[in-house]
Amino acid sequence: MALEKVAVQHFRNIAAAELRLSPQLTLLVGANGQGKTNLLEAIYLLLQGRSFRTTSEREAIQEGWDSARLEAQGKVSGQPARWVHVITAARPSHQGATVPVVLFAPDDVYLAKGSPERRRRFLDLLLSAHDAHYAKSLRTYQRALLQRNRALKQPALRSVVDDFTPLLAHEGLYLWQRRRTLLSSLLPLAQSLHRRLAPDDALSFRLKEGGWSSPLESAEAFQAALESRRREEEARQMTLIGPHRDDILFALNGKDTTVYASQGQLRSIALAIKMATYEWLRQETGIRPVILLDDVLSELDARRRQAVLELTAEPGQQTLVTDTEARNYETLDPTIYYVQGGVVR
Amino acid sequence: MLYPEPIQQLVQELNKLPGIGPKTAQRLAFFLLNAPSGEAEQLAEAILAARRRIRYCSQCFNFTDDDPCAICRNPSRDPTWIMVVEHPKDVVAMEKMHEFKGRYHVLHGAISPMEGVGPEDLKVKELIDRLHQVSPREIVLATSSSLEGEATALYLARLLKPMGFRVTRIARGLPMGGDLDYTDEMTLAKAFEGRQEL
Repeated sequence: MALEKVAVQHFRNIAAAELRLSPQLTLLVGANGQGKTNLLEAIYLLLQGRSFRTTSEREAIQEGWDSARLEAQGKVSGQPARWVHVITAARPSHQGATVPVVLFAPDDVYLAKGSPERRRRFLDLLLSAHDAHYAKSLRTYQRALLQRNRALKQPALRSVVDDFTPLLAHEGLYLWQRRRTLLSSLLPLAQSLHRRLAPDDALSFRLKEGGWSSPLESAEAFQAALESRRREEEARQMTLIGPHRDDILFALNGKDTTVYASQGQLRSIALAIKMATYEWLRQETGIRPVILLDDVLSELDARRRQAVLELTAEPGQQTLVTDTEARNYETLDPTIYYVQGGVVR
Repeated sequence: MLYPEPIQQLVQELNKLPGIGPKTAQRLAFFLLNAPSGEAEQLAEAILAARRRIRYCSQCFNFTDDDPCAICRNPSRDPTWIMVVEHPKDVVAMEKMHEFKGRYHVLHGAISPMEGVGPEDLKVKELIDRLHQVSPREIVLATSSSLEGEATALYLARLLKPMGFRVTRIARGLPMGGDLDYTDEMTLAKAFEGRQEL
Protein backbone atom coordinates (compact mmCIF):
# COMPACT_ATOMS: atom_id res chain seq x y z
CA MET A 1 0.00 0.00 0.00
CA ALA A 2 1.41 3.40 -0.93
CA LEU A 3 -0.20 6.76 -1.44
CA GLU A 4 1.86 8.80 -3.84
CA LYS A 5 0.05 12.07 -4.38
CA VAL A 6 -2.70 13.79 -2.41
CA ALA A 7 -4.54 16.96 -3.50
CA VAL A 8 -6.86 18.89 -1.20
CA GLN A 9 -9.18 21.74 -2.19
CA HIS A 10 -11.35 23.97 0.01
CA PHE A 11 -11.21 21.52 2.88
CA ARG A 12 -11.45 23.14 6.34
CA ASN A 13 -8.72 25.82 6.45
CA ILE A 14 -6.88 24.48 3.40
CA ALA A 15 -7.67 26.37 0.19
CA ALA A 16 -5.43 24.21 -1.99
CA ALA A 17 -2.58 21.85 -1.24
CA GLU A 18 -0.71 19.13 -3.05
CA LEU A 19 1.53 16.63 -1.32
CA ARG A 20 3.89 13.98 -2.63
CA LEU A 21 4.16 11.39 0.08
CA SER A 22 7.13 9.27 1.04
CA PRO A 23 6.49 5.51 0.85
CA GLN A 24 7.80 5.45 4.44
CA LEU A 25 7.58 8.52 6.63
CA THR A 26 6.02 11.88 5.78
CA LEU A 27 6.22 14.59 8.41
CA LEU A 28 3.79 17.51 8.69
CA VAL A 29 5.34 20.23 10.81
CA GLY A 30 3.63 23.32 12.19
CA ALA A 31 2.30 25.05 15.29
CA ASN A 32 -1.05 24.01 16.71
CA GLY A 33 -4.17 25.02 14.78
CA GLN A 34 -2.42 25.45 11.43
CA GLY A 35 -4.10 22.59 9.56
CA LYS A 36 -1.92 19.51 10.12
CA THR A 37 -4.76 17.38 11.45
CA ASN A 38 -6.97 18.58 8.59
CA LEU A 39 -4.54 16.93 6.18
CA LEU A 40 -4.66 13.67 8.13
CA GLU A 41 -8.47 13.87 8.12
CA ALA A 42 -8.43 14.37 4.33
CA ILE A 43 -6.27 11.27 3.87
CA TYR A 44 -8.46 9.26 6.23
CA LEU A 45 -11.57 10.35 4.30
CA LEU A 46 -10.02 9.31 1.00
CA LEU A 47 -8.97 5.87 2.23
CA GLN A 48 -11.98 5.11 4.45
CA GLY A 49 -14.81 7.10 2.86
CA ARG A 50 -15.75 8.69 6.19
CA SER A 51 -14.29 11.14 8.66
CA PHE A 52 -12.93 10.28 12.09
CA ARG A 53 -13.91 13.73 13.30
CA THR A 54 -17.44 14.37 12.18
CA THR A 55 -20.57 12.70 10.86
CA SER A 56 -21.63 15.92 9.13
CA GLU A 57 -18.96 16.30 6.46
CA ARG A 58 -20.57 19.48 5.17
CA GLU A 59 -18.98 21.39 8.04
CA ALA A 60 -15.56 20.51 6.58
CA ILE A 61 -16.10 22.65 3.47
CA GLN A 62 -13.94 25.77 3.64
CA GLU A 63 -15.92 28.84 4.64
CA GLY A 64 -17.24 30.78 1.66
CA TRP A 65 -17.17 27.78 -0.72
CA ASP A 66 -19.86 25.29 -1.64
CA SER A 67 -17.77 22.17 -2.13
CA ALA A 68 -14.54 20.50 -1.06
CA ARG A 69 -12.58 18.11 -3.26
CA LEU A 70 -10.03 15.52 -2.15
CA GLU A 71 -8.04 13.41 -4.55
CA ALA A 72 -5.24 10.87 -4.31
CA GLN A 73 -3.20 8.53 -6.43
CA GLY A 74 -1.15 5.58 -5.39
CA LYS A 75 -0.91 1.81 -5.43
CA VAL A 76 -2.90 -0.92 -3.70
CA SER A 77 -1.36 -4.41 -3.82
CA GLY A 78 0.91 -3.24 -6.63
CA GLN A 79 -1.96 -1.97 -8.81
CA PRO A 80 -2.40 1.74 -9.63
CA ALA A 81 -5.29 3.20 -7.68
CA ARG A 82 -7.12 6.49 -7.50
CA TRP A 83 -9.39 8.04 -4.87
CA VAL A 84 -11.80 10.98 -5.16
CA HIS A 85 -13.97 12.33 -2.39
CA VAL A 86 -16.22 15.34 -3.06
CA ILE A 87 -18.23 17.03 -0.33
CA THR A 88 -21.15 19.27 -1.30
CA ALA A 89 -24.36 20.37 0.39
CA ALA A 90 -25.88 17.12 -0.86
CA ARG A 91 -24.56 13.64 -0.04
CA PRO A 92 -20.75 13.33 -0.41
CA SER A 93 -19.53 11.33 -3.38
CA HIS A 94 -16.75 8.82 -2.95
CA GLN A 95 -14.68 6.72 -5.33
CA GLY A 96 -11.79 4.45 -4.57
CA ALA A 97 -10.87 1.29 -2.74
CA THR A 98 -11.21 1.19 1.04
CA VAL A 99 -7.72 0.92 2.48
CA PRO A 100 -7.04 0.21 6.16
CA VAL A 101 -5.86 3.15 8.23
CA VAL A 102 -4.89 3.35 11.88
CA LEU A 103 -5.04 6.76 13.49
CA PHE A 104 -3.21 7.46 16.72
CA ALA A 105 -4.62 10.64 18.28
CA PRO A 106 -4.09 12.44 21.60
CA ASP A 107 -7.63 11.69 22.78
CA ASP A 108 -7.07 7.92 22.43
CA VAL A 109 -6.23 7.99 26.14
CA TYR A 110 -9.95 8.45 26.81
CA LEU A 111 -10.73 5.16 25.09
CA ALA A 112 -10.41 3.28 28.39
CA LYS A 113 -11.83 6.02 30.54
CA GLY A 114 -14.14 8.44 28.71
CA SER A 115 -17.75 8.00 27.70
CA PRO A 116 -19.02 4.64 26.35
CA GLU A 117 -20.05 6.45 23.18
CA ARG A 118 -16.38 6.85 22.29
CA ARG A 119 -15.85 3.08 22.61
CA ARG A 120 -18.92 2.28 20.51
CA ARG A 121 -17.65 4.69 17.87
CA PHE A 122 -14.27 2.93 17.89
CA LEU A 123 -16.01 -0.42 17.23
CA ASP A 124 -18.34 1.00 14.57
CA LEU A 125 -15.64 2.85 12.63
CA LEU A 126 -13.40 -0.20 12.55
CA LEU A 127 -16.12 -2.70 11.61
CA SER A 128 -18.05 -0.50 9.16
CA ALA A 129 -15.01 0.39 7.09
CA HIS A 130 -14.21 -3.17 6.07
CA ASP A 131 -17.53 -4.97 6.42
CA ALA A 132 -20.37 -3.67 4.22
CA HIS A 133 -22.84 -5.98 5.95
CA TYR A 134 -22.00 -4.46 9.34
CA ALA A 135 -22.33 -0.92 7.96
CA LYS A 136 -25.72 -1.68 6.49
CA SER A 137 -26.88 -3.53 9.56
CA LEU A 138 -25.84 -0.59 11.74
CA ARG A 139 -27.80 1.87 9.60
CA THR A 140 -30.93 -0.29 9.70
CA TYR A 141 -30.52 -0.79 13.45
CA GLN A 142 -30.18 2.92 14.07
CA ARG A 143 -33.27 3.69 12.02
CA ALA A 144 -35.30 0.96 13.74
CA LEU A 145 -34.14 2.34 17.10
CA LEU A 146 -35.14 5.88 16.15
CA GLN A 147 -38.58 4.71 14.96
CA ARG A 148 -39.11 2.61 18.08
CA ASN A 149 -38.05 5.44 20.40
CA ARG A 150 -40.36 7.87 18.63
CA ALA A 151 -43.21 5.41 19.01
CA LEU A 152 -42.44 5.12 22.75
CA LYS A 153 -42.56 8.92 23.03
CA GLN A 154 -46.01 9.35 21.48
CA PRO A 155 -48.87 7.71 23.41
CA ALA A 156 -50.92 7.54 20.19
CA LEU A 157 -48.19 5.41 18.56
CA ARG A 158 -47.51 3.04 21.48
CA SER A 159 -49.43 0.34 19.60
CA VAL A 160 -46.72 0.13 16.90
CA VAL A 161 -43.65 -0.06 19.21
CA ASP A 162 -43.55 -3.85 18.90
CA ASP A 163 -43.70 -3.75 15.12
CA PHE A 164 -40.19 -2.34 15.10
CA THR A 165 -38.89 -4.77 17.74
CA PRO A 166 -38.20 -7.88 15.58
CA LEU A 167 -36.18 -5.82 13.07
CA LEU A 168 -34.31 -4.11 15.88
CA ALA A 169 -33.56 -7.49 17.46
CA HIS A 170 -32.47 -9.07 14.18
CA GLU A 171 -29.91 -6.35 13.39
CA GLY A 172 -28.94 -5.93 17.04
CA LEU A 173 -27.95 -9.59 17.37
CA TYR A 174 -25.73 -9.29 14.32
CA LEU A 175 -24.02 -6.15 15.64
CA TRP A 176 -23.39 -7.86 18.98
CA GLN A 177 -21.96 -10.93 17.35
CA ARG A 178 -19.54 -8.92 15.19
CA ARG A 179 -18.48 -6.68 18.08
CA ARG A 180 -17.77 -9.69 20.31
CA THR A 181 -15.78 -11.43 17.59
CA LEU A 182 -13.73 -8.30 16.93
CA LEU A 183 -12.90 -7.80 20.60
CA SER A 184 -11.94 -11.41 21.13
CA SER A 185 -9.58 -11.20 18.11
CA LEU A 186 -8.07 -7.96 19.39
CA LEU A 187 -7.61 -9.22 22.95
CA PRO A 188 -4.57 -11.52 22.57
CA LEU A 189 -2.88 -9.06 20.18
CA ALA A 190 -3.41 -6.15 22.58
CA GLN A 191 -2.33 -8.20 25.60
CA SER A 192 0.99 -9.17 24.10
CA LEU A 193 1.70 -5.60 22.92
CA HIS A 194 0.65 -4.24 26.29
CA ARG A 195 3.04 -6.58 28.15
CA ARG A 196 5.92 -4.93 26.32
CA LEU A 197 4.74 -1.42 27.25
CA ALA A 198 3.75 -2.13 30.84
CA PRO A 199 5.08 -5.49 32.06
CA ASP A 200 3.56 -5.08 35.54
CA ASP A 201 -0.03 -4.65 34.38
CA ALA A 202 -2.22 -7.40 32.91
CA LEU A 203 -4.73 -5.95 30.44
CA SER A 204 -8.14 -7.45 29.72
CA PHE A 205 -11.29 -6.21 28.03
CA ARG A 206 -14.64 -7.49 26.80
CA LEU A 207 -17.94 -6.31 25.40
CA LYS A 208 -20.61 -5.37 27.91
CA GLU A 209 -23.92 -5.80 26.11
CA GLY A 210 -26.15 -2.77 26.53
CA GLY A 211 -28.96 -3.00 29.06
CA TRP A 212 -28.81 -6.72 29.83
CA SER A 213 -26.61 -8.68 32.20
CA SER A 214 -25.75 -11.60 29.92
CA PRO A 215 -25.40 -11.95 26.14
CA LEU A 216 -28.76 -12.46 24.42
CA GLU A 217 -28.41 -15.33 21.97
CA SER A 218 -31.59 -15.19 19.88
CA ALA A 219 -34.06 -12.67 18.50
CA GLU A 220 -36.73 -14.27 20.72
CA ALA A 221 -34.60 -13.80 23.84
CA PHE A 222 -33.93 -10.19 22.84
CA GLN A 223 -37.65 -9.53 22.35
CA ALA A 224 -38.51 -11.21 25.65
CA ALA A 225 -35.89 -9.07 27.41
CA LEU A 226 -37.38 -5.90 25.92
CA GLU A 227 -40.84 -7.10 26.88
CA SER A 228 -39.72 -7.49 30.50
CA ARG A 229 -38.59 -3.87 30.67
CA ARG A 230 -41.47 -2.43 28.72
CA ARG A 231 -42.99 -0.44 31.54
CA GLU A 232 -39.66 1.23 32.27
CA GLU A 233 -39.21 1.89 28.55
CA GLU A 234 -42.55 3.66 28.38
CA ALA A 235 -41.71 5.73 31.43
CA ARG A 236 -38.29 6.73 30.08
CA GLN A 237 -39.53 6.87 26.47
CA MET A 238 -36.57 5.02 25.04
CA THR A 239 -35.32 1.56 24.11
CA LEU A 240 -33.32 0.28 27.06
CA ILE A 241 -31.62 -2.83 25.68
CA GLY A 242 -29.40 -3.12 22.64
CA PRO A 243 -26.02 -2.38 21.03
CA HIS A 244 -26.70 1.37 21.23
CA ARG A 245 -26.00 1.05 24.96
CA ASP A 246 -22.96 -1.26 24.68
CA ASP A 247 -19.69 -0.59 26.38
CA ILE A 248 -16.23 -2.14 26.42
CA LEU A 249 -15.07 -3.00 29.93
CA PHE A 250 -11.33 -2.50 30.36
CA ALA A 251 -9.44 -3.85 33.34
CA LEU A 252 -5.85 -3.77 34.55
CA ASN A 253 -5.00 -6.65 36.89
CA GLY A 254 -8.74 -7.23 37.17
CA LYS A 255 -9.57 -3.65 38.20
CA ASP A 256 -11.93 -1.42 36.21
CA THR A 257 -9.88 1.25 34.40
CA THR A 258 -12.61 3.89 34.46
CA VAL A 259 -12.05 4.05 38.21
CA TYR A 260 -8.45 3.05 38.83
CA ALA A 261 -6.11 3.75 35.90
CA SER A 262 -3.50 6.52 35.87
CA GLN A 263 -2.85 8.72 32.85
CA GLY A 264 0.26 6.68 31.98
CA GLN A 265 -1.65 3.40 32.24
CA LEU A 266 -4.43 4.75 30.02
CA ARG A 267 -1.84 5.77 27.48
CA SER A 268 -0.36 2.27 27.40
CA ILE A 269 -3.81 0.73 26.96
CA ALA A 270 -4.62 3.12 24.12
CA LEU A 271 -1.35 2.36 22.35
CA ALA A 272 -1.78 -1.38 22.78
CA ILE A 273 -5.33 -1.23 21.39
CA LYS A 274 -4.32 0.86 18.41
CA MET A 275 -1.35 -1.35 17.61
CA ALA A 276 -3.56 -4.43 17.99
CA THR A 277 -6.02 -2.81 15.58
CA TYR A 278 -3.15 -2.37 13.14
CA GLU A 279 -2.26 -6.07 13.35
CA TRP A 280 -5.89 -7.16 13.07
CA LEU A 281 -6.51 -5.00 9.98
CA ARG A 282 -3.33 -6.27 8.40
CA GLN A 283 -4.43 -9.88 8.92
CA GLU A 284 -8.05 -9.25 7.87
CA THR A 285 -7.38 -7.24 4.72
CA GLY A 286 -3.95 -8.53 3.72
CA ILE A 287 -2.91 -4.89 3.28
CA ARG A 288 -0.46 -3.03 5.50
CA PRO A 289 -2.54 -0.20 7.05
CA VAL A 290 -1.43 3.40 6.62
CA ILE A 291 -0.47 4.83 10.00
CA LEU A 292 -1.50 8.36 10.93
CA LEU A 293 0.20 9.72 14.06
CA ASP A 294 -1.52 12.91 15.11
CA ASP A 295 0.60 14.74 17.61
CA VAL A 296 1.12 11.72 19.83
CA LEU A 297 4.85 10.97 19.89
CA SER A 298 5.82 14.07 21.88
CA GLU A 299 3.50 12.90 24.68
CA LEU A 300 5.11 9.47 24.98
CA ASP A 301 8.01 8.34 27.12
CA ALA A 302 11.00 6.61 25.52
CA ARG A 303 9.68 3.06 25.82
CA ARG A 304 6.27 3.77 24.30
CA ARG A 305 7.73 6.00 21.61
CA GLN A 306 10.14 3.22 20.70
CA ALA A 307 7.26 0.74 20.30
CA VAL A 308 5.45 3.02 17.84
CA LEU A 309 8.54 3.95 15.87
CA GLU A 310 9.50 0.29 15.44
CA LEU A 311 6.22 -0.21 13.64
CA THR A 312 6.76 2.74 11.32
CA ALA A 313 10.33 1.69 10.55
CA GLU A 314 9.31 -1.58 8.87
CA PRO A 315 10.08 -1.48 5.13
CA GLY A 316 7.02 -0.53 3.07
CA GLN A 317 5.17 0.91 6.05
CA GLN A 318 3.65 4.23 5.02
CA THR A 319 3.22 6.66 7.88
CA LEU A 320 2.21 10.30 8.28
CA VAL A 321 3.21 12.15 11.41
CA THR A 322 2.23 15.59 12.64
CA ASP A 323 4.48 17.40 15.10
CA THR A 324 5.36 20.90 16.13
CA GLU A 325 9.00 20.30 15.27
CA ALA A 326 11.03 18.17 12.90
CA ARG A 327 14.11 17.40 14.95
CA ASN A 328 12.81 14.14 16.54
CA TYR A 329 12.70 12.42 13.18
CA GLU A 330 15.98 13.30 11.49
CA THR A 331 17.32 9.76 11.60
CA LEU A 332 14.22 8.43 9.80
CA ASP A 333 14.82 10.44 6.63
CA PRO A 334 11.24 11.76 6.29
CA THR A 335 9.65 13.82 3.53
CA ILE A 336 8.83 17.07 5.32
CA TYR A 337 6.02 19.58 4.73
CA TYR A 338 5.50 22.73 6.73
CA VAL A 339 1.91 23.72 7.47
CA GLN A 340 1.05 27.28 8.41
CA GLY A 341 -2.38 28.94 8.33
CA GLY A 342 -3.71 26.29 5.95
CA VAL A 343 -0.80 26.71 3.54
CA VAL A 344 1.36 23.66 2.88
CA ARG A 345 4.95 24.02 1.63
CA MET B 1 -30.41 39.37 -8.48
CA LEU B 2 -34.16 39.29 -7.95
CA TYR B 3 -36.59 38.15 -10.64
CA PRO B 4 -39.91 39.90 -11.28
CA GLU B 5 -42.55 38.81 -8.79
CA PRO B 6 -44.46 36.33 -11.06
CA ILE B 7 -41.24 34.45 -11.84
CA GLN B 8 -40.27 34.32 -8.17
CA GLN B 9 -43.71 32.98 -7.39
CA LEU B 10 -43.43 30.27 -10.06
CA VAL B 11 -39.94 29.23 -8.87
CA GLN B 12 -41.19 29.10 -5.30
CA GLU B 13 -44.11 26.84 -6.22
CA LEU B 14 -41.97 24.48 -8.33
CA ASN B 15 -39.45 24.32 -5.50
CA LYS B 16 -42.12 22.77 -3.29
CA LEU B 17 -42.29 19.68 -5.51
CA PRO B 18 -40.45 16.56 -4.30
CA GLY B 19 -36.95 16.18 -5.72
CA ILE B 20 -36.92 19.75 -7.08
CA GLY B 21 -34.26 22.04 -5.58
CA PRO B 22 -33.96 25.79 -6.17
CA LYS B 23 -31.69 25.39 -9.22
CA THR B 24 -33.99 22.90 -10.96
CA ALA B 25 -37.02 25.02 -10.05
CA GLN B 26 -35.38 27.98 -11.78
CA ARG B 27 -34.58 25.90 -14.86
CA LEU B 28 -38.15 24.58 -15.09
CA ALA B 29 -39.57 28.09 -14.66
CA PHE B 30 -37.49 29.40 -17.56
CA PHE B 31 -38.38 26.39 -19.66
CA LEU B 32 -42.07 27.10 -19.13
CA LEU B 33 -41.64 30.80 -19.90
CA ASN B 34 -39.79 30.07 -23.14
CA ALA B 35 -42.02 27.17 -24.27
CA PRO B 36 -44.21 27.63 -27.37
CA SER B 37 -47.51 29.28 -26.58
CA GLY B 38 -50.10 26.83 -25.32
CA GLU B 39 -47.70 24.39 -23.67
CA ALA B 40 -47.65 26.03 -20.28
CA GLU B 41 -51.44 26.35 -20.45
CA GLN B 42 -51.74 22.64 -21.26
CA LEU B 43 -49.65 21.78 -18.22
CA ALA B 44 -51.69 24.07 -16.00
CA GLU B 45 -54.92 22.56 -17.30
CA ALA B 46 -53.63 19.00 -16.87
CA ILE B 47 -52.80 19.77 -13.24
CA LEU B 48 -56.22 21.31 -12.63
CA ALA B 49 -58.09 18.51 -14.42
CA ALA B 50 -56.21 15.84 -12.46
CA ARG B 51 -56.93 17.64 -9.21
CA ARG B 52 -60.60 18.07 -10.06
CA ARG B 53 -61.37 14.64 -11.49
CA ILE B 54 -59.12 12.27 -9.53
CA ARG B 55 -60.28 11.01 -6.16
CA TYR B 56 -59.93 7.90 -4.04
CA CYS B 57 -61.83 4.78 -5.04
CA SER B 58 -64.32 4.19 -2.22
CA GLN B 59 -63.33 0.50 -2.05
CA CYS B 60 -59.58 0.19 -2.59
CA PHE B 61 -58.50 3.84 -2.11
CA ASN B 62 -56.46 3.85 -5.29
CA PHE B 63 -56.66 7.01 -7.40
CA THR B 64 -59.52 6.94 -9.88
CA ASP B 65 -61.60 9.24 -12.05
CA ASP B 66 -64.58 6.94 -11.76
CA ASP B 67 -65.80 5.44 -8.49
CA PRO B 68 -65.44 2.48 -7.98
CA CYS B 69 -62.21 2.20 -9.97
CA ALA B 70 -61.78 -0.01 -13.05
CA ILE B 71 -60.23 -2.85 -11.02
CA CYS B 72 -62.91 -2.82 -8.31
CA ARG B 73 -65.63 -2.75 -11.03
CA ASN B 74 -64.13 -5.69 -12.95
CA PRO B 75 -66.29 -8.78 -12.19
CA SER B 76 -63.52 -11.19 -13.27
CA ARG B 77 -61.32 -9.99 -10.40
CA ASP B 78 -61.81 -11.93 -7.20
CA PRO B 79 -63.18 -9.56 -4.54
CA THR B 80 -62.17 -11.94 -1.74
CA TRP B 81 -58.49 -11.91 -2.67
CA ILE B 82 -56.98 -8.65 -1.45
CA MET B 83 -53.48 -7.32 -1.85
CA VAL B 84 -52.43 -4.50 0.48
CA VAL B 85 -49.89 -2.00 -0.91
CA GLU B 86 -48.42 1.28 0.28
CA HIS B 87 -48.89 3.50 -2.77
CA PRO B 88 -50.91 3.78 -6.01
CA LYS B 89 -47.65 3.30 -7.95
CA ASP B 90 -47.34 -0.15 -6.33
CA VAL B 91 -50.67 -1.14 -7.93
CA VAL B 92 -49.27 -0.16 -11.32
CA ALA B 93 -46.13 -2.22 -10.66
CA MET B 94 -48.15 -5.27 -9.58
CA GLU B 95 -50.50 -5.00 -12.55
CA LYS B 96 -47.52 -5.26 -14.89
CA MET B 97 -46.95 -8.87 -13.83
CA HIS B 98 -50.46 -9.94 -14.99
CA GLU B 99 -50.51 -12.68 -12.32
CA PHE B 100 -52.69 -11.27 -9.61
CA LYS B 101 -56.42 -11.61 -10.30
CA GLY B 102 -57.66 -10.23 -7.01
CA ARG B 103 -58.18 -6.66 -5.86
CA TYR B 104 -56.05 -4.09 -4.07
CA HIS B 105 -56.11 -1.95 -0.99
CA VAL B 106 -53.91 1.17 -0.98
CA LEU B 107 -52.74 2.35 2.46
CA HIS B 108 -51.21 5.63 1.22
CA GLY B 109 -48.05 5.27 3.23
CA ALA B 110 -46.35 3.15 5.87
CA ILE B 111 -46.07 3.38 9.63
CA SER B 112 -43.27 5.80 10.52
CA PRO B 113 -43.28 7.28 14.04
CA MET B 114 -40.41 9.64 13.19
CA GLU B 115 -42.67 11.29 10.64
CA GLY B 116 -45.61 11.08 13.02
CA VAL B 117 -47.37 8.51 10.80
CA GLY B 118 -49.31 5.83 12.67
CA PRO B 119 -52.05 3.39 11.60
CA GLU B 120 -54.65 6.15 12.09
CA ASP B 121 -53.04 8.11 9.28
CA LEU B 122 -53.26 5.20 6.83
CA LYS B 123 -56.30 3.54 5.26
CA VAL B 124 -56.26 0.79 7.90
CA LYS B 125 -59.69 1.33 9.43
CA GLU B 126 -61.12 1.34 5.89
CA LEU B 127 -59.34 -1.97 5.23
CA ILE B 128 -60.88 -3.61 8.31
CA ASP B 129 -64.37 -2.39 7.38
CA ARG B 130 -63.93 -3.74 3.88
CA LEU B 131 -62.64 -7.13 5.07
CA HIS B 132 -65.63 -7.58 7.35
CA GLN B 133 -67.90 -6.99 4.35
CA VAL B 134 -66.25 -9.30 1.82
CA SER B 135 -64.94 -12.16 4.03
CA PRO B 136 -61.68 -12.54 2.11
CA ARG B 137 -60.03 -15.89 1.38
CA GLU B 138 -56.54 -14.36 1.47
CA ILE B 139 -54.95 -11.04 2.32
CA VAL B 140 -51.55 -10.54 0.69
CA LEU B 141 -49.34 -7.99 2.46
CA ALA B 142 -47.26 -6.36 -0.28
CA THR B 143 -45.83 -3.37 1.58
CA SER B 144 -42.21 -2.59 0.66
CA SER B 145 -39.22 -4.36 2.20
CA SER B 146 -38.02 -1.14 3.86
CA LEU B 147 -37.96 -0.96 7.65
CA GLU B 148 -41.27 0.94 7.64
CA GLY B 149 -42.86 -1.42 5.10
CA GLU B 150 -41.89 -4.43 7.22
CA ALA B 151 -43.21 -2.81 10.40
CA THR B 152 -46.48 -2.01 8.64
CA ALA B 153 -46.80 -5.63 7.47
CA LEU B 154 -46.13 -6.84 11.03
CA TYR B 155 -48.73 -4.46 12.41
CA LEU B 156 -51.36 -5.62 9.92
CA ALA B 157 -50.58 -9.29 10.50
CA ARG B 158 -50.87 -8.75 14.26
CA LEU B 159 -54.20 -7.03 13.73
CA LEU B 160 -55.78 -9.30 11.12
CA LYS B 161 -54.73 -12.80 12.13
CA PRO B 162 -56.63 -12.78 15.45
CA MET B 163 -59.71 -11.80 13.42
CA GLY B 164 -59.40 -15.17 11.71
CA PHE B 165 -58.21 -13.94 8.30
CA ARG B 166 -55.62 -15.77 6.23
CA VAL B 167 -52.68 -13.38 5.91
CA THR B 168 -49.63 -13.87 3.64
CA ARG B 169 -46.52 -11.76 2.97
CA ILE B 170 -44.85 -11.50 -0.44
CA ALA B 171 -41.44 -13.20 -0.50
CA ARG B 172 -38.11 -11.41 -0.62
CA GLY B 173 -35.10 -12.79 -2.38
CA LEU B 174 -33.04 -12.95 -5.51
CA PRO B 175 -33.90 -10.87 -8.57
CA MET B 176 -34.46 -12.94 -11.73
CA GLY B 177 -31.26 -13.38 -13.70
CA GLY B 178 -29.28 -12.18 -10.69
CA ASP B 179 -25.84 -13.57 -9.91
CA LEU B 180 -25.45 -15.03 -6.44
CA ASP B 181 -22.04 -13.49 -5.91
CA TYR B 182 -23.34 -9.98 -6.70
CA THR B 183 -26.19 -10.24 -4.20
CA ASP B 184 -25.78 -8.57 -0.82
CA GLU B 185 -25.80 -10.82 2.25
CA MET B 186 -29.07 -9.43 3.57
CA THR B 187 -30.96 -10.36 0.39
CA LEU B 188 -29.26 -13.74 0.26
CA ALA B 189 -30.20 -14.42 3.87
CA LYS B 190 -33.84 -13.56 3.10
CA ALA B 191 -33.78 -15.74 -0.01
CA PHE B 192 -32.37 -18.60 2.05
CA GLU B 193 -35.02 -18.17 4.76
CA GLY B 194 -37.74 -18.26 2.11
CA ARG B 195 -36.45 -21.37 0.31
CA GLN B 196 -39.06 -23.80 -1.01
CA GLU B 197 -39.35 -27.53 -1.50
CA LEU B 198 -39.03 -28.55 -5.16
